[in-house]
Amino acid sequence: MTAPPATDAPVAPGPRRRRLPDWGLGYLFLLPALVIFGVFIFFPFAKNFELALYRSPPFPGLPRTYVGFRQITDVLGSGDFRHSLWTTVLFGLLTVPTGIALGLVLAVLANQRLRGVAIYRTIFASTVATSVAVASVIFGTLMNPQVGLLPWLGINPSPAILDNPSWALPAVAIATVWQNLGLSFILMSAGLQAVPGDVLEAAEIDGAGPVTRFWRVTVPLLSPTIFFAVVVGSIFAFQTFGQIDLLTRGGPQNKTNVLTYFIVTQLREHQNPGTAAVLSIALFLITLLLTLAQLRLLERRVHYAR
Amino acid sequence: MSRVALEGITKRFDGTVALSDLTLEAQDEELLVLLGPSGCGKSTALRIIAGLETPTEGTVRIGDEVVNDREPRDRDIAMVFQSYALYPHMTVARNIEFPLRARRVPVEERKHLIADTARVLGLDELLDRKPSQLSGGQRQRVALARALVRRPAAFLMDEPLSNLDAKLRVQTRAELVDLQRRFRATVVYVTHDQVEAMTMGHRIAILDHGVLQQVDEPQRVYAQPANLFVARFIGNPPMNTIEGRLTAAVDRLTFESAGLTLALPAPLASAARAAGLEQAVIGVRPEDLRVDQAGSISAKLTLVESLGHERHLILRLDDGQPLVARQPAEAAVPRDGEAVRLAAAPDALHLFDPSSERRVEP
Repeated sequence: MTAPPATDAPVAPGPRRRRLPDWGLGYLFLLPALVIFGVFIFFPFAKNFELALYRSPPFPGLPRTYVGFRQITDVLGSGDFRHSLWTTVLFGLLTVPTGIALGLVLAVLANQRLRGVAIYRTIFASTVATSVAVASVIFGTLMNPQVGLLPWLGINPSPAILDNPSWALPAVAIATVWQNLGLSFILMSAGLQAVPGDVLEAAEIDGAGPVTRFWRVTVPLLSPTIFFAVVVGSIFAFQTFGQIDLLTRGGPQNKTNVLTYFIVTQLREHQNPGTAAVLSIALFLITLLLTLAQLRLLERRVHYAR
Repeated sequence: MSRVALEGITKRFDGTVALSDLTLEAQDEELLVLLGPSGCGKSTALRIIAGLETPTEGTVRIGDEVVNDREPRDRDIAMVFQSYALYPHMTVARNIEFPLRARRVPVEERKHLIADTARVLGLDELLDRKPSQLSGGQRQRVALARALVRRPAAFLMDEPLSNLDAKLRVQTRAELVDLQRRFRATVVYVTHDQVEAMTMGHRIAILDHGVLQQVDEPQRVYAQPANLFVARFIGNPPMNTIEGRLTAAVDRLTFESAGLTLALPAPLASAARAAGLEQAVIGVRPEDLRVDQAGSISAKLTLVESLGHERHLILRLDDGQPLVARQPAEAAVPRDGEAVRLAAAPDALHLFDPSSERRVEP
C-alpha cells in the first residue's frame, strides 16, 4: 500500500483567491475552437451572403456594384447553373448507390469465417488511406490513351475516355467509387458485426436460404448503417472537387462541371466572387434540403434496434 | 415427431476437444435434457444436431435418416435460442410467419397456423407488436410460437428459460412440459440448471468436458450417480464426498476418515471387496445426515444457513474436509463453533472408487 497522495490531505484555509465562474471557464476552453471556426467557417459563410448582393466588375480592380437580388435570380436562372446542378445530381446517383452496394458486397464476403480473410479485409479497407489526389493520379494513368492500362488491354475508345463527353463523368465516378470504397466497406463491416449471429442462425433453421437471409434479415438490420452511408455519401458527392479538378477540369464540353468546380472556376478563372457566392449558397441550401428530405423519406424505412 | 440420435460424435475446435465420442439418443416424444456446467459441450451437441456446427467425427440421425450432409433448413427441426433470436424488425405475426414463408406455405394456411399457434401461447393480442415492445416472457413465447408453428420433427432448445426472472421461469417450466405432452414433441433441451433438468426431463444426459457422464431418468441420476462428478453436480446442496480408507475388521468393512468411522452395509462391503478397494470416497447427501449424539461422525459447526423451511448446517471434519447437513426448521439448532455428532443412514451411503471416480454399485 502506498500513502495517499498529498493533495487528498485537508488543506488549511488560505487567502481566498478570485475564481472564474464555471461558465467562464467553459467558454475559455471553447475559445480556441471558436476562433478557428469563426475565421475559417462562420465568417466566410456570412460573408457569402454579402458578396451575393454585389456584382463583380468585368475587370478586377474596378469597384463592385450593389445589385440586390438580381444577381441571385440571374445566376440561378441560368442554363449553366441548371446544367451544373444536373451534373452534380447525376454524379451523386452514379457514385452513392454503387459505392454502398459494393461496400456491402465486400463486407459480406470479408465477414465469412475463412482462413486468411484478414488479408482481404486489409485490402478492401486500404483505399481509406489514399487521398483524392492519389486516386485521381492512379485512374488518370489507367485511362491515359498512351500509357494506360485500359489501352494496353485493347480498350481505347477515341476520343480517350476522359475526353469523351459521354464517358468522362462515369469515369470520374468510377475513380470516386474506388476511392470511397474503403470507407464504405469499413462502415458496412461494422454494421454487419452488429447483426446478431443467432438471429441469422434462427433464419437458417427457419428455412431461409442465403439470399432470403440477406434481403429479409441482414439488410433490414443494417438499415441504420445504410441510411447513414446514404446521407453522408450524398453530402460527399455534392462536394466533390479534387477528382474533377485533376482528371477532367470540368470538361469535356462541360460534362463534368459539377457545382463545386463551377464555383471554383467562377473565382479562379473569372475572378467573379459575386456569382461564386451565389452558387455556394445554392449548393449549401440544396445539400441541406437533400439531407432533410432523406431524413424524412428514408428514415421511416429504417429499423433501429430498440 | 421422430427420434434424434448422435452416434460417436467428436468435435474439435482448433485443437481443443469440445465433444468426445458422444453417443446419445432422444427417443420419439421424449424430452431429453443435456445438463452440465458451462463449457461442457452441451450447446455444441445441440448445434451439431441443428446443423449449425459440423461434427469432426460421427453420425447425426433425425428420424431414420442420416442428416450429416443436410443444411439446417433441410433437417426438419426447430430451435429456441437463449436470446430468443427474434427478428427485431418484424412484428410478432411476421416472426411466427417467417418459417412458413421461407417454406412457401400458401397464405391461407399460414394465417390459420399463425392464429392457432398464437392462441395456444396466448399471443393473440400481441400479433402487431414488435419484439422491442414485449416483455422477456412474451418474447420467449414468440420464440416458442415460431418453433411450434412448423410442427417440426424435433425441437432443440438452448437454455430457453435462463433469461427469465425466477418466478416466470418456474411458471414457464410447467407450461413447456405441458406443451411437450400436448404436441407429443421430441425435445432436446440444453440447460445448466439442475432444477430444470430434474423437473422437466424424461431423461437427463450429464456432460462434463465434452464427455458423457450418465444418461438416466432424473430420479436414478439423483439416487445412483454414476460417478463423483454427477454426485457433486446434482443436488442442492450437493452430495458430501469424504475421502478415507477402508479397513477390514473380523466380519465387516469400515470406512475411516478423520473424525469418523462408518460401518459399510453388507452389500456395499462385498462390492468394495470385489473391487479390491483400499482407499475410497464415501458420498452422503445432506438430507441423509442427521444430528445424533450417538452418531459416528464428529464435526465442528461453522455456519448455520436458515432457509425458512429448512436449515443447512455447514460443518468441517477434523481434517478440514467440508460437510453439509440439511435439517428441518423445527429441529434444535446447535451453536456455531460447537462440536456436533452426526449419523448417516447406512443405506444412504454411496461408495466411489477414488482412482476411476466411478460408483461402486452394491
